[in-house]
Formats: sequence, structure tokens, C-alpha cells
Amino acid sequence: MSPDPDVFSALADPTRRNVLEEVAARGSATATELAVPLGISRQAVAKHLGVLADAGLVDGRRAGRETRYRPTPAPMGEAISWMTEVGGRWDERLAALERQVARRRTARGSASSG
Amino acid sequence: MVARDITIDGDPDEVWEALTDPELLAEWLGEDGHAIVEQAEPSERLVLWLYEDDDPGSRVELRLIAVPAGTRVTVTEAPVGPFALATA
Repeated sequence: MSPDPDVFSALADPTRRNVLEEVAARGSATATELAVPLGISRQAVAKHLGVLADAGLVDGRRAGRETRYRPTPAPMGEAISWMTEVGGRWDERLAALERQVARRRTARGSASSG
Repeated sequence: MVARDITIDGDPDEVWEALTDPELLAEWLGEDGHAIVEQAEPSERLVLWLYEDDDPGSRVELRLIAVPAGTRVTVTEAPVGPFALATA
């Protein structure tokens, strides 16, 4: 099964990876708590947390006026197993392509010399 | 996303011919796999959508680049979601 493509796009942004790392390091965090250590605005942190939540990488719960996020790393494991499986498949497919090119060369060589 | 590459002894035209051989595609896809060609630029670039019946699948881009040793083939594969499927 393919993983949710949102996981890859969510993790493609380096600032967003920092946000996720901070949430994971603290166990849980709000946008306000992360704004100062990350050196970006509360609004920017909140936006990144929203993208991470949509990808299933964090889970947000309302706590008073703020939302508190916890890391939920399961989709990351799924993404890693997909990359391992698909990468292995391409190693085999590219090797098959190489064999196919070699076969055609041999066939052409014997046709022209024979 | 997954990225792989290989350098093959043969020019891009030869690699393209082999790449578009139905026999090779059948070997690549196996019994349950399907492929739709989204873009084909002969000897340069092939974009495929690979999927199985129960899976929205992924987008694959293959590029052929002439190098002194032959042809460098790069491939990237990225999953597509239900949204991409609906708008395809």
C-alpha cells in the first residue's frame, strides 16, 4: 500500500522538520511555546503544525485558547517501509533494463556479423 | 519519494528501445501492476503512473542522459493520493 503523499511533502520542508523535532523533543508543545526557540512567528509555527497534523505526524488537542500537539510517528514508519520496498523494486527493474539493453546489443551484433 | 539511478552501456536510443519493450514492462509490473504513460519524450524522458487495483499507486519519472560510459538512467517514484487520482 502506498503511504499518504502528505507525509513526504510535510517532511520536505526543513523548517517543518525542525518544528516536528521540537514537538518530539518536548513530548508535546503549543505554537506559542515553539515560536521563540525556533525563531519564527507563532503564526508560522501554527501553520507548520497544521500541515504536520494533516499528514498525521502530530495530533492536536485544544487546551484553552491554544492547541497542544503531540508527535504521532506511525506514518513515518509506513513511509520508510514504502521507500525501502519501492527502492528495492527499482534496483531490480533497472538491472532488468540493463539486461534488456545488453540482450538487444548481442542480438544486433550476431545479426550483423552472421 | 524514492530515487535511484544506473549507468547502462548503450546510447539513449538503445536504452529507450529497451525501456519501451512490452516484455520489459511486463517484467517490471508483475501480474497485478498496471501502468499509464503520462508523458513520453523519446530517448529523454518517460513519465508513468503505476498502480494496482487496490492502491492509487505512484508517479514515476525516468530520465535518460547521455554520459561517456553510455546512458545514465535516473528514476524517481512518489506516491499519489486519492486527491491526485480524482483529478488525474
